[in-house]
Amino acid sequence: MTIDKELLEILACPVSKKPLELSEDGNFLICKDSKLVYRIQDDIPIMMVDEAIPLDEWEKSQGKG
Amino acid sequence: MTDDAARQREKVRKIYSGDSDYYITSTPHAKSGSLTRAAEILKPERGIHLDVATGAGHTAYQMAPMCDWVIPSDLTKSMLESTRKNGAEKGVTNARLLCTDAEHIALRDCSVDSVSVRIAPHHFSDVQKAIGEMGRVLKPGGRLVYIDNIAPEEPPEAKGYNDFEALRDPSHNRCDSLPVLVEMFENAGLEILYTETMRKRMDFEEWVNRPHLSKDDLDGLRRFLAEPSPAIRLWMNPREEEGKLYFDEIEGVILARRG
Repeated sequence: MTIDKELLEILACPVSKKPLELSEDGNFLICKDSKLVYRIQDDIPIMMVDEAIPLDEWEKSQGKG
Repeated sequence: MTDDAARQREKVRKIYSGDSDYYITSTPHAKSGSLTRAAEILKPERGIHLDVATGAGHTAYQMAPMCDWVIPSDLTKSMLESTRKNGAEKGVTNARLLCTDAEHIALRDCSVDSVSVRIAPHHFSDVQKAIGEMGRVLKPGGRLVYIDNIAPEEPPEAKGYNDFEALRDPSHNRCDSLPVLVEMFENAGLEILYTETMRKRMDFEEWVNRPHLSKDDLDGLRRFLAEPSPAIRLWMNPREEEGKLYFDEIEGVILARRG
Protein backbone atom coordinates (compact mmCIF):
# COMPACT_ATOMS: atom_id res chain seq x y z
CA MET A 1 0.00 0.00 0.00
CA THR A 2 1.37 3.41 -0.89
CA ILE A 3 0.18 6.95 -0.44
CA ASP A 4 1.47 9.83 -2.47
CA LYS A 5 3.80 11.98 -0.34
CA GLU A 6 2.55 15.28 -1.77
CA LEU A 7 -1.03 14.32 -1.00
CA LEU A 8 -0.09 13.22 2.51
CA GLU A 9 1.45 16.67 3.13
CA ILE A 10 -1.91 18.40 2.68
CA LEU A 11 -4.26 15.73 4.04
CA ALA A 12 -6.09 16.50 7.28
CA CYS A 13 -8.49 14.69 9.56
CA PRO A 14 -12.02 15.64 8.44
CA VAL A 15 -13.00 16.11 12.11
CA SER A 16 -10.05 17.93 13.69
CA LYS A 17 -8.61 19.36 10.42
CA LYS A 18 -5.18 18.48 11.87
CA PRO A 19 -2.30 16.71 10.04
CA LEU A 20 -2.25 12.92 10.07
CA GLU A 21 0.40 10.39 10.98
CA LEU A 22 1.07 7.46 8.63
CA SER A 23 1.11 4.07 10.37
CA GLU A 24 4.35 2.06 10.27
CA ASP A 25 2.92 -0.42 7.77
CA GLY A 26 1.65 2.44 5.56
CA ASN A 27 -1.94 1.16 5.63
CA PHE A 28 -3.55 3.68 7.98
CA LEU A 29 -3.67 7.41 8.73
CA ILE A 30 -3.90 8.32 12.38
CA CYS A 31 -5.29 11.47 14.00
CA LYS A 32 -4.22 11.66 17.64
CA ASP A 33 -6.40 14.73 18.13
CA SER A 34 -9.75 13.20 17.13
CA LYS A 35 -8.56 9.69 18.12
CA LEU A 36 -9.65 8.32 14.76
CA VAL A 37 -7.82 6.07 12.28
CA TYR A 38 -8.50 6.06 8.53
CA ARG A 39 -7.75 3.19 6.15
CA ILE A 40 -5.79 3.48 2.91
CA GLN A 41 -7.38 1.11 0.41
CA ASP A 42 -5.99 0.51 -3.10
CA ASP A 43 -3.79 3.60 -2.55
CA ILE A 44 -6.87 5.77 -1.81
CA PRO A 45 -7.16 7.39 1.63
CA ILE A 46 -10.70 6.65 2.88
CA MET A 47 -11.27 9.83 4.88
CA MET A 48 -14.89 9.19 5.83
CA VAL A 49 -15.78 9.80 9.46
CA ASP A 50 -18.37 7.02 9.51
CA GLU A 51 -15.76 4.54 8.24
CA ALA A 52 -12.99 5.61 10.63
CA ILE A 53 -11.77 3.25 13.35
CA PRO A 54 -11.58 4.51 16.96
CA LEU A 55 -7.90 4.84 17.88
CA ASP A 56 -8.09 2.56 20.96
CA GLU A 57 -9.82 -0.17 18.95
CA TRP A 58 -7.23 0.10 16.19
CA GLU A 59 -4.34 -0.02 18.68
CA LYS A 60 -5.74 -3.23 20.18
CA SER A 61 -6.04 -4.78 16.71
CA GLN A 62 -2.40 -3.89 16.08
CA GLY A 63 -1.31 -5.43 19.39
CA LYS A 64 -0.48 -2.00 20.79
CA GLY A 65 -3.34 -1.62 23.29
CA MET B 1 -23.22 14.43 11.61
CA THR B 2 -27.03 14.68 11.70
CA ASP B 3 -29.33 11.76 10.93
CA ASP B 4 -30.56 13.61 7.82
CA ALA B 5 -26.98 14.03 6.56
CA ALA B 6 -26.22 10.35 7.22
CA ARG B 7 -29.41 9.25 5.42
CA GLN B 8 -28.59 11.48 2.43
CA ARG B 9 -25.05 10.09 2.27
CA GLU B 10 -26.37 6.51 2.27
CA LYS B 11 -28.76 7.31 -0.60
CA VAL B 12 -25.84 8.66 -2.65
CA ARG B 13 -23.66 5.67 -1.83
CA LYS B 14 -26.41 3.21 -2.73
CA ILE B 15 -27.10 4.79 -6.12
CA TYR B 16 -23.48 5.45 -7.09
CA SER B 17 -22.00 2.20 -5.78
CA GLY B 18 -24.28 0.17 -8.03
CA ASP B 19 -24.06 2.41 -11.07
CA SER B 20 -20.63 4.04 -11.04
CA ASP B 21 -19.44 3.11 -14.56
CA TYR B 22 -22.61 4.73 -15.98
CA TYR B 23 -21.01 8.11 -15.22
CA ILE B 24 -17.95 7.43 -17.40
CA THR B 25 -20.12 7.78 -20.52
CA SER B 26 -23.22 9.65 -19.24
CA THR B 27 -23.76 12.51 -21.72
CA PRO B 28 -24.51 15.34 -19.24
CA HIS B 29 -21.42 14.43 -17.18
CA ALA B 30 -18.97 13.47 -19.94
CA LYS B 31 -19.98 15.71 -22.84
CA SER B 32 -22.11 18.71 -21.82
CA GLY B 33 -20.93 22.25 -22.59
CA SER B 34 -20.37 22.99 -18.92
CA LEU B 35 -17.42 20.58 -18.85
CA THR B 36 -15.23 22.69 -21.13
CA ARG B 37 -16.83 25.87 -19.74
CA ALA B 38 -15.62 24.98 -16.23
CA ALA B 39 -12.00 24.98 -17.40
CA GLU B 40 -12.44 28.07 -19.59
CA ILE B 41 -13.82 30.08 -16.69
CA LEU B 42 -11.51 28.82 -13.96
CA LYS B 43 -8.32 28.80 -16.07
CA PRO B 44 -6.12 27.14 -13.45
CA GLU B 45 -2.44 27.98 -13.86
CA ARG B 46 -0.42 25.10 -12.42
CA GLY B 47 -0.75 24.38 -8.69
CA ILE B 48 -2.99 21.86 -6.95
CA HIS B 49 -6.59 21.50 -8.07
CA LEU B 50 -9.36 19.81 -6.06
CA ASP B 51 -12.48 18.49 -7.80
CA VAL B 52 -15.23 17.81 -5.26
CA ALA B 53 -17.75 14.98 -5.79
CA THR B 54 -15.86 14.10 -8.94
CA GLY B 55 -17.96 11.14 -10.08
CA ALA B 56 -16.06 9.56 -12.97
CA GLY B 57 -13.55 12.44 -12.82
CA HIS B 58 -14.51 14.30 -16.00
CA THR B 59 -14.03 17.79 -14.53
CA ALA B 60 -10.82 16.86 -12.71
CA TYR B 61 -9.34 15.42 -15.90
CA GLN B 62 -10.40 18.50 -17.87
CA MET B 63 -8.34 20.59 -15.41
CA ALA B 64 -5.41 18.14 -15.16
CA PRO B 65 -3.32 19.41 -18.15
CA MET B 66 -3.37 22.94 -16.67
CA CYS B 67 -2.33 21.93 -13.15
CA ASP B 68 0.70 20.43 -11.42
CA TRP B 69 -1.64 17.79 -10.03
CA VAL B 70 -5.32 17.26 -9.36
CA ILE B 71 -7.32 15.61 -6.60
CA PRO B 72 -10.48 13.93 -7.85
CA SER B 73 -12.48 13.37 -4.65
CA ASP B 74 -15.69 11.51 -3.96
CA LEU B 75 -17.44 9.99 -0.97
CA THR B 76 -17.89 6.63 -2.69
CA LYS B 77 -14.92 4.31 -3.02
CA SER B 78 -16.51 2.32 -5.85
CA MET B 79 -17.11 5.58 -7.74
CA LEU B 80 -13.39 6.34 -7.38
CA GLU B 81 -12.60 3.00 -9.01
CA SER B 82 -14.53 4.27 -12.06
CA THR B 83 -12.67 7.58 -11.74
CA ARG B 84 -9.37 5.68 -11.85
CA LYS B 85 -10.48 3.63 -14.85
CA ASN B 86 -11.61 6.78 -16.70
CA GLY B 87 -8.28 8.51 -15.90
CA ALA B 88 -6.28 5.53 -17.19
CA GLU B 89 -8.29 5.52 -20.43
CA LYS B 90 -7.57 9.24 -20.87
CA GLY B 91 -3.88 8.80 -20.04
CA VAL B 92 -3.99 11.15 -17.01
CA THR B 93 -0.89 10.69 -14.83
CA ASN B 94 -1.11 13.63 -12.38
CA ALA B 95 -4.19 12.65 -10.33
CA ARG B 96 -4.25 11.56 -6.66
CA LEU B 97 -7.62 10.08 -5.67
CA LEU B 98 -9.21 10.95 -2.34
CA CYS B 99 -12.30 9.52 -0.66
CA THR B 100 -13.87 12.39 1.27
CA ASP B 101 -17.22 14.11 1.46
CA ALA B 102 -17.98 17.67 0.51
CA GLU B 103 -19.18 18.74 3.95
CA HIS B 104 -16.02 17.46 5.72
CA ILE B 105 -13.16 17.82 3.24
CA ALA B 106 -10.07 15.96 4.48
CA LEU B 107 -7.55 18.64 3.46
CA ARG B 108 -5.74 21.29 5.47
CA ASP B 109 -6.76 24.94 5.44
CA CYS B 110 -5.37 26.93 2.48
CA SER B 111 -3.92 23.81 0.81
CA VAL B 112 -5.13 24.00 -2.82
CA ASP B 113 -4.94 26.62 -5.57
CA SER B 114 -8.29 25.98 -7.23
CA VAL B 115 -11.47 24.00 -6.69
CA SER B 116 -14.26 22.78 -8.95
CA VAL B 117 -17.57 21.11 -8.33
CA ARG B 118 -19.85 20.23 -11.22
CA ILE B 119 -23.31 18.62 -11.43
CA ALA B 120 -23.04 17.31 -7.87
CA PRO B 121 -24.15 19.75 -5.14
CA HIS B 122 -27.80 18.75 -5.62
CA HIS B 123 -26.80 15.49 -3.89
CA PHE B 124 -25.24 17.24 -0.87
CA SER B 125 -27.02 17.22 2.47
CA ASP B 126 -25.75 20.73 3.30
CA VAL B 127 -24.68 22.89 0.36
CA GLN B 128 -23.86 25.89 2.57
CA LYS B 129 -21.46 23.78 4.64
CA ALA B 130 -19.85 22.32 1.49
CA ILE B 131 -19.26 25.81 0.05
CA GLY B 132 -17.68 26.81 3.38
CA GLU B 133 -15.39 23.76 3.23
CA MET B 134 -14.35 24.45 -0.37
CA GLY B 135 -13.51 28.02 0.68
CA ARG B 136 -11.57 26.79 3.71
CA VAL B 137 -9.20 24.58 1.71
CA LEU B 138 -8.52 27.27 -0.92
CA LYS B 139 -5.35 29.35 -0.60
CA PRO B 140 -5.95 33.11 -0.32
CA GLY B 141 -6.65 34.36 -3.84
CA GLY B 142 -7.59 30.83 -4.95
CA ARG B 143 -10.62 30.38 -7.16
CA LEU B 144 -13.60 28.06 -7.18
CA VAL B 145 -15.89 27.20 -10.07
CA TYR B 146 -19.30 25.85 -9.06
CA ILE B 147 -21.65 24.40 -11.69
CA ASP B 148 -24.92 22.69 -10.94
CA ASN B 149 -28.49 22.46 -12.14
CA ILE B 150 -30.52 25.28 -10.64
CA ALA B 151 -34.18 25.50 -9.67
CA PRO B 152 -36.70 28.22 -10.50
CA GLU B 153 -36.85 31.05 -7.96
CA GLU B 154 -40.56 30.63 -7.12
CA PRO B 155 -40.86 28.14 -4.18
CA PRO B 156 -43.80 26.07 -5.58
CA GLU B 157 -42.07 25.68 -8.94
CA ALA B 158 -38.76 24.89 -7.25
CA LYS B 159 -40.48 22.17 -5.22
CA GLY B 160 -42.13 20.70 -8.33
CA TYR B 161 -38.81 20.68 -10.17
CA ASN B 162 -36.96 19.08 -7.23
CA ASP B 163 -39.68 16.42 -6.80
CA PHE B 164 -39.32 15.58 -10.51
CA GLU B 165 -35.55 15.19 -10.15
CA ALA B 166 -35.88 13.11 -6.97
CA LEU B 167 -38.34 10.74 -8.63
CA ARG B 168 -35.71 9.92 -11.25
CA ASP B 169 -32.79 9.84 -8.80
CA PRO B 170 -33.55 9.13 -5.11
CA SER B 171 -30.14 10.56 -4.17
CA HIS B 172 -31.19 13.99 -5.48
CA ASN B 173 -31.52 16.22 -2.42
CA ARG B 174 -32.21 19.77 -3.65
CA CYS B 175 -31.36 22.25 -6.37
CA ASP B 176 -31.40 25.89 -5.32
CA SER B 177 -31.99 29.01 -7.37
CA LEU B 178 -29.01 31.07 -8.51
CA PRO B 179 -29.71 33.97 -6.08
CA VAL B 180 -29.88 31.51 -3.15
CA LEU B 181 -26.52 30.00 -4.19
CA VAL B 182 -24.91 33.42 -4.55
CA GLU B 183 -26.05 34.27 -1.01
CA MET B 184 -24.43 31.05 0.26
CA PHE B 185 -21.09 32.04 -1.31
CA GLU B 186 -21.33 35.45 0.32
CA ASN B 187 -22.18 33.83 3.67
CA ALA B 188 -18.99 31.75 3.29
CA GLY B 189 -16.93 34.91 2.81
CA LEU B 190 -16.18 34.19 -0.86
CA GLU B 191 -16.14 36.94 -3.44
CA ILE B 192 -18.34 36.33 -6.48
CA LEU B 193 -16.39 37.12 -9.66
CA TYR B 194 -18.86 35.96 -12.28
CA THR B 195 -22.15 34.13 -12.79
CA GLU B 196 -23.96 32.80 -15.82
CA THR B 197 -26.61 30.27 -16.73
CA MET B 198 -26.46 27.62 -19.42
CA ARG B 199 -29.43 25.82 -20.96
CA LYS B 200 -28.81 22.10 -21.47
CA ARG B 201 -30.91 19.96 -23.86
CA MET B 202 -31.88 16.66 -22.28
CA ASP B 203 -32.96 13.53 -24.17
CA PHE B 204 -35.68 12.10 -21.92
CA GLU B 205 -35.15 8.44 -22.90
CA GLU B 206 -31.42 8.69 -22.29
CA TRP B 207 -31.98 10.56 -19.02
CA VAL B 208 -34.29 7.86 -17.63
CA ASN B 209 -32.09 4.96 -18.75
CA ARG B 210 -31.28 4.01 -15.15
CA PRO B 211 -31.53 0.49 -13.70
CA HIS B 212 -33.48 1.44 -10.57
CA LEU B 213 -36.43 3.18 -12.26
CA SER B 214 -39.82 1.43 -12.21
CA LYS B 215 -42.65 1.79 -14.74
CA ASP B 216 -44.57 3.92 -12.20
CA ASP B 217 -41.55 6.23 -11.84
CA LEU B 218 -41.31 6.60 -15.61
CA ASP B 219 -45.05 7.31 -15.89
CA GLY B 220 -44.75 9.97 -13.17
CA LEU B 221 -41.83 11.65 -14.93
CA ARG B 222 -43.62 11.63 -18.30
CA ARG B 223 -46.79 13.03 -16.66
CA PHE B 224 -44.84 15.91 -15.09
CA LEU B 225 -43.49 16.94 -18.50
CA ALA B 226 -46.83 16.37 -20.25
CA GLU B 227 -48.76 18.61 -17.85
CA PRO B 228 -46.32 21.33 -16.75
CA SER B 229 -47.34 24.51 -14.96
CA PRO B 230 -46.75 27.67 -17.04
CA ALA B 231 -43.57 28.45 -15.08
CA ILE B 232 -42.19 24.92 -15.50
CA ARG B 233 -43.07 25.01 -19.21
CA LEU B 234 -40.97 28.16 -19.51
CA TRP B 235 -38.15 26.76 -17.35
CA MET B 236 -37.87 23.25 -18.80
CA ASN B 237 -39.42 23.67 -22.25
CA PRO B 238 -40.64 20.05 -22.60
CA ARG B 239 -41.14 19.24 -26.28
CA GLU B 240 -41.21 16.53 -28.91
CA GLU B 241 -38.68 16.57 -31.71
CA GLU B 242 -39.02 13.94 -34.42
CA GLY B 243 -41.11 11.77 -32.10
CA LYS B 244 -38.66 11.99 -29.18
CA LEU B 245 -39.23 13.78 -25.88
CA TYR B 246 -36.75 16.48 -24.84
CA PHE B 247 -36.61 19.04 -22.05
CA ASP B 248 -34.07 21.52 -20.73
CA GLU B 249 -32.08 21.72 -17.54
CA ILE B 250 -30.57 25.05 -16.57
CA GLU B 251 -27.07 25.01 -15.10
CA GLY B 252 -25.92 27.85 -12.89
CA VAL B 253 -22.23 28.73 -13.13
CA ILE B 254 -20.51 30.63 -10.33
CA LEU B 255 -16.87 31.70 -10.22
CA ALA B 256 -15.73 32.86 -6.79
CA ARG B 257 -12.48 33.80 -5.09
CA ARG B 258 -11.17 33.48 -1.57
CA GLY B 259 -9.98 36.92 -0.41
